[in-house]
Amino acid sequence: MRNKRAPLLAVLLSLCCGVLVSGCETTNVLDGLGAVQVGGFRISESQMGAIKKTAKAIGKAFTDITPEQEYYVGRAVGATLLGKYHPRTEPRTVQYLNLVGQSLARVSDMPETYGGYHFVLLEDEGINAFAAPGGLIFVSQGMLRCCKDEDTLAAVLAHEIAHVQLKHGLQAIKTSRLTSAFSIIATEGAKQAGGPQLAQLTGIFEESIHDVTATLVNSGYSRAFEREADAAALVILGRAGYDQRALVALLGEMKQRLNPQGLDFAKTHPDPADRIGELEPLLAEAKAPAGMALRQQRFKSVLGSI
Amino acid sequence: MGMRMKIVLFLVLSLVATAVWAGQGWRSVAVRKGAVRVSPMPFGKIVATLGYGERVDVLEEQGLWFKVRDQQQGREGWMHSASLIAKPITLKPGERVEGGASEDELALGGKGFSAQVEAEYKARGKNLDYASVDWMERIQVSPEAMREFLAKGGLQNPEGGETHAK
Repeated sequence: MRNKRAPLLAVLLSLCCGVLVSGCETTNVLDGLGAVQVGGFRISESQMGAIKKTAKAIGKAFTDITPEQEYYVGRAVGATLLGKYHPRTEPRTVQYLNLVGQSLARVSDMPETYGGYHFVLLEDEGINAFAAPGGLIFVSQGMLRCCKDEDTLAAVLAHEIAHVQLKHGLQAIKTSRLTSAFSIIATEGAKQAGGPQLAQLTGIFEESIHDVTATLVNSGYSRAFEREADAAALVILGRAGYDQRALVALLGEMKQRLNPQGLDFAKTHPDPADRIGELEPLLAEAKAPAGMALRQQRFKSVLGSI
Repeated sequence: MGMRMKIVLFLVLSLVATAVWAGQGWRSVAVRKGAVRVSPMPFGKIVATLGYGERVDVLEEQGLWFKVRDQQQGREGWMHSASLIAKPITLKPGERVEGGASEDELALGGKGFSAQVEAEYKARGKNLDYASVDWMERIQVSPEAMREFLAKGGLQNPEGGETHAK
């Protein structure tokens, strides 16, 4: 008996290790398996099903949130931000901001999301920029005042697009919430969602939105996430044909304008001087691209009066 | 066969299974408007737009781009991998696309954080401005406006790849 159990234990152990190490990869492996014969000990299809469910519940993480679910998280985060700040709705401003944004989003590693990228300017004099999961991006008027031209504005947007691409917003959601949500989804009853399960899911959703907005507005991302987003922003700017050094110029301007005790970017982001120090080595070969004057002209013409 | 061999064998089989899954010949469209482009370029001309859950056969891979053929109408073109998912998406009754996934396949559509959850959340929530979110989502940039914007600003060539600014 002992000998027969040993291989089974080994299989279970390797499954668990795999799940912990690689999350969805392993559940994919399991999805490919039916009944399994291991050293004379047969794991039936139903037993395999149980293992699959457990592995899935443990392995589920932000990477398993589908683009559709990410979209609903993003909409709720957006609704919270827009409940706090008013958007500028003049068509010319909206169109220009979205043209700059789309020229960057399209060349990012995540050019398409479930609901697409959309950009707005907020009537807020604090220095702020937010990216909700799925591609809703918000820039404050205070941040716009740190931008001297289109390339600097592009640097702000590229950094926010990078947060979307790297799914930083989703990673602010506590894993325990996702595990609970995925367990509910996995149960049969959720096929006809309603009643207590819908209420439970909504509760988890509410807490998840709170995790994301609290991170965006109050605590900020980790230093490592900001570094990653800055590095990805450089790539996006370069691919689009914008000046990569504009990100450094922007940070320099922010350093001048930020009130260290402020409740805006000063509170949620690392010191711009530190970020500049980390970007410099990546910019050794950056060259100023052509067309900057043309772009500055249209920037002034559309946004100069704001 | 020793136990160690069995473990090794199992791990090898696991890897094979992963490879088989990842190498499957089709993908589901995971976004609401999946752009099928004439070339694997960010601003490549859009030849078709596929809806959420529609399936495509993968003909070729090039970096983050897949050359695909849609299973319903046989249209071919390039889609970015960000808009595709290697799992079947089953939509709710009424939303089901023709030739969609069968019941026993992993259903992703409308599960979890869904429109239904959003409605419930909206009813509970305070200071939520969903009307402005809807307005924001309606903001569109036409391909013509995009092309003109890129060209006049000396940015990316409309077809992608090369820049004017050289």
